[in-house]
Amino acid sequence: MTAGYLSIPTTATAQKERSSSAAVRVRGLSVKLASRTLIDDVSVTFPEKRITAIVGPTGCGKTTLLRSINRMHDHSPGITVSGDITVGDTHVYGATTHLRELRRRVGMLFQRANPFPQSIEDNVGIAPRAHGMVSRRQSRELVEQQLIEVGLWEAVKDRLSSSPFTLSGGQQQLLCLARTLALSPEVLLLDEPTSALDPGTTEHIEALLKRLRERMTILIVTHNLSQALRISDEVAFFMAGKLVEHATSNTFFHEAADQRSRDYVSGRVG
Amino acid sequence: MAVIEADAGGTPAAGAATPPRPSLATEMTRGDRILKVVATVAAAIPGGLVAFLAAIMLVTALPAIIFNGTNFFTGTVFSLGHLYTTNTVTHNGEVAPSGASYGALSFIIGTFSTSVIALLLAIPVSVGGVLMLTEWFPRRIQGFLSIFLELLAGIPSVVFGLWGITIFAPYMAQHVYPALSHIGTVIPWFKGPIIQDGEGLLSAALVLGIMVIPIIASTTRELVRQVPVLAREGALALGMTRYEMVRTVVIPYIRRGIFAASLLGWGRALGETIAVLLISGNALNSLPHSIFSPISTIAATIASVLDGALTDFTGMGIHALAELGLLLLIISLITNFAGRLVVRRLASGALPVGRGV
Repeated sequence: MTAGYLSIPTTATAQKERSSSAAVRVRGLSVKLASRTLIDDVSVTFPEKRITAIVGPTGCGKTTLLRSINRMHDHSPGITVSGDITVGDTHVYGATTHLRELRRRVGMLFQRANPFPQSIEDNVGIAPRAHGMVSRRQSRELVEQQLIEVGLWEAVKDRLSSSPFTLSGGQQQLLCLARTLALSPEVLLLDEPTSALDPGTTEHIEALLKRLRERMTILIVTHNLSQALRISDEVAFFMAGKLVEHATSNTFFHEAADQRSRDYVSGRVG
Repeated sequence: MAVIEADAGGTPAAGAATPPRPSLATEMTRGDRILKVVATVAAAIPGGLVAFLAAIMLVTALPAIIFNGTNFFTGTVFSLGHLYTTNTVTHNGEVAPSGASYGALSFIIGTFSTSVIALLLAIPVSVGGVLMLTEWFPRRIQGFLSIFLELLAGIPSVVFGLWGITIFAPYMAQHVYPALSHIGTVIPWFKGPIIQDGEGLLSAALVLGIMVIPIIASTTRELVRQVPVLAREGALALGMTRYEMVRTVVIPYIRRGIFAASLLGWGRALGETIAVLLISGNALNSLPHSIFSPISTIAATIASVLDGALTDFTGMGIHALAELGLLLLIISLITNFAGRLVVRRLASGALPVGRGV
């Protein structure tokens, strides 16, 4: 699985594949931890330039599904993934897939802010430099641009060289978002990104996601149904590792086809 | 304790009508009292021992301190004098055998040079090795190789000394040092001559380095394990390679701890006695002019000279060794405190190790 891990794609390919969004197609995906099945034969397509909320009770495999898409399971011994996932035309688990380039195209934001123990500026600039997308000199510009994008620039412009741990939790999460966006991803994976944040920052991030939808595919795992209602175009509802229902938000919240979905929406389950 | 008492004192005022609640801090059973006494004694033991030891050393060393004056720090000749005659010399009112001179400069230099070179070798090897082990090796091999690290830590230092003097030093003197001495044309410290069996500064430092590796490596391993998984995943999710992740995330997280671990290792290297005594060439009267020169350290000198000093009829030999011991004690305390200070200063840079998991 990790054969192509250390190979570095040329800047040319990186340039070429940038700034386009891509649909994520999941076909017959199963994920097992030892003998326990976490995801059971799931097929679903997440359309491009849409926000899809992935919802379901705790332990239903939402996060596991999300982590399959950028192959985070590669680093967890004991987890086996079978089936096929494509991002655009790229087979995520293909033998010739460059993991490095895949992860450039598929960004991820975690449940809690995890800034690097580096300066605020380097937090945003370090990955684009590592990918050869910008030179050290250009990186300053990119950093500013991304921090403006997420609305953090005014707060940090005078202390770019200080530690990100001096920022508030919400600001740290925004910094992590800027860090992810700096790679111009086509797909954005969000694992309950606002569950540890205050309502103000949550609202800010939600507005941001609606804006980002115009240029990328967004998948958001959330426990917060009202959040899903507010921002998502589509909803994928999971229970016990299986996809129960995938519908537009409007349909899911108001006239879901499956009884279990209706129970979940009305708060009887989960 | 203070907090509890303050709390207990505050409560009765709140309910003036009700009788004061019995305070937990004052209500003590016999068991509590015994525990209190035992705990107080136990808590006082470490500090008390250090103070007691330092006091004894100071008292024993005092005649030598008066006799030596500054010669102790500037003199390069360490001799107990003529112990088989009854001739004595008097200096600053203190009596010593004739010919006695207690200059410790070469030991001070020997102690610092061996321990610093040992650290320079041990830090990159241990940190690099541990990162290699934890980041790139499969978990099963990690456990297996870690056993050897612990075994290395358990080898008695006299075994290191014996191995050093019988196998390691002669081998190095024959095969490695001659090549190394070519650097001497550029950096004078690398110029020979090389002692045939390899006894000297570099051999002692190398063996010390090997002895220090397990200390630094095992601490580093614990530090690496404490790096939050979430922080690592943040780097990996951005498509960074393992090397880039280690550089961006792991090393900044463990940097401060490595510094502390190095100080632990330094403490060990400063005080190591028997291995250095066997390998250093035990030079009591000369300053090293190159890394191949025979040297001696403070600790090794105390061990090697003690026998002779005990036969000193004036007692000054023992006093002089006590002064050496006192110096070693002070150096150890200073490095320890300096280390703590630096660790605390770095800590104020706010690096929340463990946050986010």
